[in-house]
Amino acid sequence: MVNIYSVAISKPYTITASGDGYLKFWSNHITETDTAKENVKEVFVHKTGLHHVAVFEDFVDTTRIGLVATVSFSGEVFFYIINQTDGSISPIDVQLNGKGNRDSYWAIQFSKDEESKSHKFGATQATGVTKIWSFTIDSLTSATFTIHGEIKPQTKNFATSLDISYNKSLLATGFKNGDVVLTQTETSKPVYTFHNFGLKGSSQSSSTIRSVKFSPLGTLLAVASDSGSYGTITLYDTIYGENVGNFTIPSHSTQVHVGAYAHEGWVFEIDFNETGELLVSSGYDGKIRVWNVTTREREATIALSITDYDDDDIPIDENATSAAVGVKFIDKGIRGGAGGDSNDGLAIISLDRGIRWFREAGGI
Amino acid sequence: MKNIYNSFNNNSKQRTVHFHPDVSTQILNKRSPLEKLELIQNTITNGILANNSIILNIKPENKIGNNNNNNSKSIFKLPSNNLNESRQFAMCLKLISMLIENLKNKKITTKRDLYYQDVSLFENQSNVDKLINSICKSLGFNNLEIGAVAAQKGLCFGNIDIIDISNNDMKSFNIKDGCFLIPRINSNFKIIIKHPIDYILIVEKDSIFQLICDPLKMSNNLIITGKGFPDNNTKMFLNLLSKQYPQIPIYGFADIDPHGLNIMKQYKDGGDLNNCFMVHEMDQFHCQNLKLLDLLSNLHFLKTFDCLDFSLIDYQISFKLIESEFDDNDNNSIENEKFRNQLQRTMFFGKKAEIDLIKSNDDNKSNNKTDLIQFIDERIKISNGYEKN
Repeated sequence: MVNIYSVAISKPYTITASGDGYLKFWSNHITETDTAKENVKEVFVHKTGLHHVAVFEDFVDTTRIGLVATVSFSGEVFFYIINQTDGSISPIDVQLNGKGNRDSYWAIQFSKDEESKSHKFGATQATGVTKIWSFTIDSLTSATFTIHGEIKPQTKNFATSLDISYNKSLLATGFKNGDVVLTQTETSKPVYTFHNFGLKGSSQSSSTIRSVKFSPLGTLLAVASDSGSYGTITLYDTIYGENVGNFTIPSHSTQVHVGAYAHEGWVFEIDFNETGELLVSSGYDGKIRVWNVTTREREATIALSITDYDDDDIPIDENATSAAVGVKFIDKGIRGGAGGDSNDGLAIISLDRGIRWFREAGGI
Repeated sequence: MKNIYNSFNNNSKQRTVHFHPDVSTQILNKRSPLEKLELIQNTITNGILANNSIILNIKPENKIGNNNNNNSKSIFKLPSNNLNESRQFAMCLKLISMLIENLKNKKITTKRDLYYQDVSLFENQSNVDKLINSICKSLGFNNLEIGAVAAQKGLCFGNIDIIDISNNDMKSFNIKDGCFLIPRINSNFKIIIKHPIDYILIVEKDSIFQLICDPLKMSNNLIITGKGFPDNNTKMFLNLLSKQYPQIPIYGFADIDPHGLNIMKQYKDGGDLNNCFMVHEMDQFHCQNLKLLDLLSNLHFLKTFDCLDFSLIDYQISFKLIESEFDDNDNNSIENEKFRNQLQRTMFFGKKAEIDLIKSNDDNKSNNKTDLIQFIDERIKISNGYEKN
């Protein structure tokens, strides 16, 4: 019954946030013979359930740590620190707002300053406001957040998604109405607004932005948005503000009259790999697609099925949907097992209550 | 006889009429609503005749989500420079005289009727509702006792007898005559279901109710709707049914949006009685057996319903609702989880759906009525299977 809504990758753990209010930390240091289920730590966060999780990795003195942020369905943000030396996870108290000021947040994102001067944290709100904080991690038990800027939307519209590029000092906010606003992180000044128009006029009209991601260098912005009940992925150039292409699958269906799409269902999340050569997308149609960013061709498609699991705890329900709600690339050298050091991997979460890890084949 | 209740100030020639129960109930504890209202009316008219200025002190209606304003008062003065204040005063006086008239004749009217007796004065229905609510709270009576009630709106479809135990008065209903308005009941009533039924179905909206009340296909079931937010009478009717027939399953069928879930929650936990009219302590409105029909899991709800975007208000309601739902740790953990799951998914997808129209798989738009009844049957089977797992 429990749904996983978000996944993030850190060096020691794959972290998932779920509807029962738990954060789960799945050990990445496992071999082929280990069972993932037996190498997991649980932390209960909030009774209303969790829908977003993000992680930030750095050193405090000589200890490698992970700062984890997660958002509850009631709109609160909670923080935890992973001590990567001993693998322990402990909650820390962070004041995001002044006292008595309770905002409800939705999407969150960290941005790391490679010169360790000013790390950023961003969070969106139902009213469309995006807030940016600067933060420092003072010790293994505390971090200080100070408000850096606030981006107000032109119209009140739900801010569904967010990403921050350190390299280009840009922030992208995706909205329910199909707009993506690109802003300068330092000054909170808007740079470009991209309009995405989904299928309208049908009974399922929708243009919702589901995910925005900068390429590692920040020169490209990938946007996943609804087109009716289909999902599209569009690439924008962040310097010139141009639409530079779409990722599409060839369609022979007579049912689609307008436009091309990437998935036969909403695209919930997209992610670049560490080189920026590949983009992965997860769809409500139960498919995971890996795209070549240069050629915009499909490199691979993974079809999820409820029978993927070999686990007696999950009853096989023929009506269950394997809709993929989240996906992240796993960089080389993070996840254990054969080929983990040399090949990219994927962590996929889906509405059949499961998490799956995949690895690029070959080269072992 | 000196009456503290009508405190009279000789210096400023002011009369303060306190509606506040702290003052009124101490002195007027044993008095009937009619006596209390007449006393207030007399004080006001005497004051006007004596050319005194009058201050009317009414305990205001509690606003939802703000229970701390019990101490604040709403005060109307006569004479006043403020048009609105004068109007409020006039409305109050008019209402009191109408209520007295009705109580004398032992007549119970609806608040709607009271409004129609002087439309130009009251301007809209909510003015009447607010004042009646305030008067009830101030005097410590419920709305039935002062003779101004909401029109019943709950509908029911089924073969049942409703018996008033206090006087053995029986009303009989048959599905051949269609649905019926749930009569005004209290906790002394007994409800008899005249032949075995499979389940009781609670429907959020009247439109769906009307579609599925089919004497041929739904004869083995009892269907109830409160037409949106249920009134106390409908909730009490369901409460009596669930107590008298604990073995019959009760299912709730609502739109896939926070409003629908909120309405189902009203049936389940009886709603927030602090925000209702004065109710007697023994009255019960909850129905813990209510099971929400699971419309989201195992289903591409996208393909079955017309989906709409979540609005900002939908999110705000959801943020509140998702927190309120799970404060109490009762034994209904599965049901709580279903509520939470449905709220979470709609928030995550950012979509809601109204269930008036079930899309048929083939494009030949067949009879929507049959589709809906079939769909409900399927969902109930799945709900039952889910319990067994």
